[in-house]
Amino acid sequence: MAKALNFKFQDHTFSANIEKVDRKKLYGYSQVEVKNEKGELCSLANVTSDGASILPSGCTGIVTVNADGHFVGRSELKVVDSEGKLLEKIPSVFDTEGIELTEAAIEDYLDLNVKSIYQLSFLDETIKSSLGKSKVYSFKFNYRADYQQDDAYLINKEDDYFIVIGYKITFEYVGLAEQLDEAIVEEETTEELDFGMM
Amino acid sequence: MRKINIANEKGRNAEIGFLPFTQTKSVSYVDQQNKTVENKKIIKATIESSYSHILKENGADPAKVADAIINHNPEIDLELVGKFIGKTSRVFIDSSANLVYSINKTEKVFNNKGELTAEREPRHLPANIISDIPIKWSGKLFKKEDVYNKFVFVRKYQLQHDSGLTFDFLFDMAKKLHDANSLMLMGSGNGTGPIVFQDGGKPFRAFLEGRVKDDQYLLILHISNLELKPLPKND
Repeated sequence: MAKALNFKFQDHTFSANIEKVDRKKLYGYSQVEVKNEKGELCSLANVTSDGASILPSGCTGIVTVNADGHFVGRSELKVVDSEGKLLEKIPSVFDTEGIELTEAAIEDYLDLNVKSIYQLSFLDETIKSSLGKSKVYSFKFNYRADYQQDDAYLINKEDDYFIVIGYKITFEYVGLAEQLDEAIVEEETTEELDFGMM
Repeated sequence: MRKINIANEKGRNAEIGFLPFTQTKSVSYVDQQNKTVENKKIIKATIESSYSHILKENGADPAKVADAIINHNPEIDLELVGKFIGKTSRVFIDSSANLVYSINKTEKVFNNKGELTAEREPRHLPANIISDIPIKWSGKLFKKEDVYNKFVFVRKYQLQHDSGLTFDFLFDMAKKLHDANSLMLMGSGNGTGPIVFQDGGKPFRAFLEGRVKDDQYLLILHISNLELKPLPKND
């Protein structure tokens, strides 16, 4: 089991284990099986644009190259922010002594594009009375040590508590003058979500 | 720009542009000279250099495979390995890595315990956001404080006007929802059906939120494919 998360809220400190919540665990899943005319299973592969090479799964890789096209090893890379300032890794939240919770508005939570959800199981359930119900708490989350953190919210539904992780969108209100141009926006190509609740 | 055909509570409809949101990267990688680097896709191996192919070529004899690897390096194609590749096409291959031109697809459905529950032809849902029949208001309002922890609103789209007429149309919607402090369930059919953004895509529930500040508005379409509920307990 992963380490517990340690939270700090007002005068309280408390710990909780987390377990990922996803569609597969709640509703099940489906997978498409592809067979040829003889009934043999088939798999997907890539064909290069010149048609010369068929590349089954695992035959391609990603490398990092510099402007001259030369390979750059991971140990030679540095991470910088948008202004070119060198960044240090932020420790994982599992290695953080007390993750500070701040009470937030429901609308802040609604602005979150969600990446993942975890269910909390508190090591000491008495903290529930201090957290209260129908409250939203915000904090920063990074599962592993990383250079940037995600936005996260702790919420409850009845007696169950969850953390919802993603990135908070900064929406801009629009007036009559700010109308959309008929610019071509590239269509989204990823559509990995399913819908089992209907 | 992508568009959605939506109707208000009076049944008046318009094609409205909408904007998706993707996370902008605030960090980037540079090399030791502080120059930007990029990731490129390369060929790592080929069918001929795979272990299964080498084993087959050597009569499934591991000793012969070892000899071949030591003496002839069949596991590395020096001409191809490391070559940058751009766009590729996706094809199906059989277990012998031959191209397959005719396929049959079956969708297998498993429950949350991993048990097979059904086999069926894969369903292909047509996109319904820009069809002749608009995405409608269902009339079902959910107070924000009641709905935020019932569904997981996985993605958001901002609806925005492209003319004075659609400004009035959308501002009016946003004002009604703002005043009600609620989200409106929207959808296909009578307004409660799922919405599908692209052909062959997945269905989602959609909830419209409106906020108003002076003479400006914000209309957010929240989409959900997941209820917020605890994991089933292990038996």
